[in-house]
Amino acid sequence: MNTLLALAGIVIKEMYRRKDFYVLFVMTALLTVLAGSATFFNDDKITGYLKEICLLLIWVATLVIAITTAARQIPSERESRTIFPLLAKPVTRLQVVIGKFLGCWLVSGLTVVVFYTFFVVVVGTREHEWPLLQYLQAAWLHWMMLGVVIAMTILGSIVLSAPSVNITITAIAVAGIFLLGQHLHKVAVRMTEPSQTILTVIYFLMPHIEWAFDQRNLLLFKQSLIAWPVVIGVTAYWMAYMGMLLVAAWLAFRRKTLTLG
Amino acid sequence: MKRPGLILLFFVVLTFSLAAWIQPQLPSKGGRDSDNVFKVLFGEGRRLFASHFTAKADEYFHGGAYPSFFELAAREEDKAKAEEAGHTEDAGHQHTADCKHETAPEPEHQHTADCKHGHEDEHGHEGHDESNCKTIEKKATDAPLDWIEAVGRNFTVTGHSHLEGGKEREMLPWLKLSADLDPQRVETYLVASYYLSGHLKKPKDAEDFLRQGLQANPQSYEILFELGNLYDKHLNQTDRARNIWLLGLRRWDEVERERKNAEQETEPDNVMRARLLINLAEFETKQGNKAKALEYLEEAKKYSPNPAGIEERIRKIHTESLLGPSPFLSP
Repeated sequence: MNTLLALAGIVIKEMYRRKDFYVLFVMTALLTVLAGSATFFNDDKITGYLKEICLLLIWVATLVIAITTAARQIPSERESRTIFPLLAKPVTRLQVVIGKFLGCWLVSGLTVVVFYTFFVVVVGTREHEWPLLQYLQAAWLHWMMLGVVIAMTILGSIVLSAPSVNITITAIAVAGIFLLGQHLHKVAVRMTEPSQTILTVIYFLMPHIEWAFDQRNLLLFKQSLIAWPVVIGVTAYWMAYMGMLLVAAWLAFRRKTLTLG
Repeated sequence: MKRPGLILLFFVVLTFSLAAWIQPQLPSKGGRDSDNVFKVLFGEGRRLFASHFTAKADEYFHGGAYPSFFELAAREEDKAKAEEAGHTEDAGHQHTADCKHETAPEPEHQHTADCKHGHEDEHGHEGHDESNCKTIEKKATDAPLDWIEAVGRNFTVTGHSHLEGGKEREMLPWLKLSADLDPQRVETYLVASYYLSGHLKKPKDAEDFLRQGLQANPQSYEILFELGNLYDKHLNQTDRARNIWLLGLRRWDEVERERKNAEQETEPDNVMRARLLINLAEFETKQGNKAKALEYLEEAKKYSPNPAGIEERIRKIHTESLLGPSPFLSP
């Protein structure tokens, strides 16, 4: 466990050093404040658009941070050849995979906390309403969902040739799931074979992380809390995917030949 | 100065001179759209975004429950299949242009100050597609296709509600954005004006927005009709309303003439002409000019999809003329 925490600690320290987070946070804050300063038809009670813009920026920023941080972990260790002293510690390859994942996930967690705090403050000061449990639920689901994305990216960083390829493919996959995930089966039943079966299999195989993305609307339209058993169930479902993707990453990493030349 | 520096200076002077020479040669757009930043950034593609923002406003109106692209496509497919099979979706009620703009008086029913456009239940609210409501309700009541969809419903808004009590204001930013992106989309101005004047009690803002729409669409008799309604019902400027409706009639004639000259296959917007005429008839009746009112109604009968309703009104005016106003009725 100490080894895993040490590996995760390195990732967190790296986040402090890099400027990605600061730039994205300042950009999100700036754009939100700019949007907030606009008035429509002399009505200062309008808040929906501001919440929508701020949440969208938060989603984009957290996804960018999660994917780019996770995508460069193992390739950069290999490139700088620090992977060799690391594995000679001795640290197993499984520990490297899990440690890196944990680090990235904790980084994402910190990011989610900072961004959601900003969101709560901005919206709270405009609306004078503080549905903290709703925000907590949204942040929790957001963080859990990012765990799946990070596990997916770490697997990609081992299987795919370069971080840029991995980042692009993961981003497309995540966007695809967000936009199509919920509808794929409905589309499939209207298709003919074999497209119908192929699409249905994809639908049942893919991690349904779009639930967290869809949940934004519950915040925007002030809906009631999601039942906690559902939240726990979904958390377990996503954790199962994280486990599966990390095992796949470990298996791929175990077979990977690491050479000095 | 060395040669590379001179060459660089030459190209700078050349490009600047070319730019200064070409710019005045380009046809001027009269300045109306040229200052629109969205046009500069997105070109004609901005109209796509405008449709998206109009849909967004409708989504807000439904409190977040809104059919997805796939559900809309499936609905269209089902509708096409049903039409092929020889029957329409709603045997009881066919949607026509009448249903859309209930701020407009129906040919068989004249809106008064008491009405306050409260006809959502009958005709659907302004600019709002009733079929979307049906799709949302169907989605909420239909059994989920699988467990993933069942779980997913916990994360989406499924209850069907409409914004009320001033919350309609949340739609306005999207409508404003839509109008900025596509100033020629007349519907956006009408919808925004409907909510600003009727629901949010901001007739001055509605007027400003309609005027903005009129600037972008000087031929739009729909905007003139709505502007007239605004002056008549919310700003108590009935004479101004009459002038605006008369201008609306002139614009309708011009548009119709252009349509005929261009030999377009589209149908003339008879319903809107009938509405303009009925509003004018109502104005003249209130002023005591019954002959003029009858003249307008006679013409409206030709254009209205419900001439029997107008005939009834004509008969009523004739009867009142013969008997005189009832002493028992308050004015």
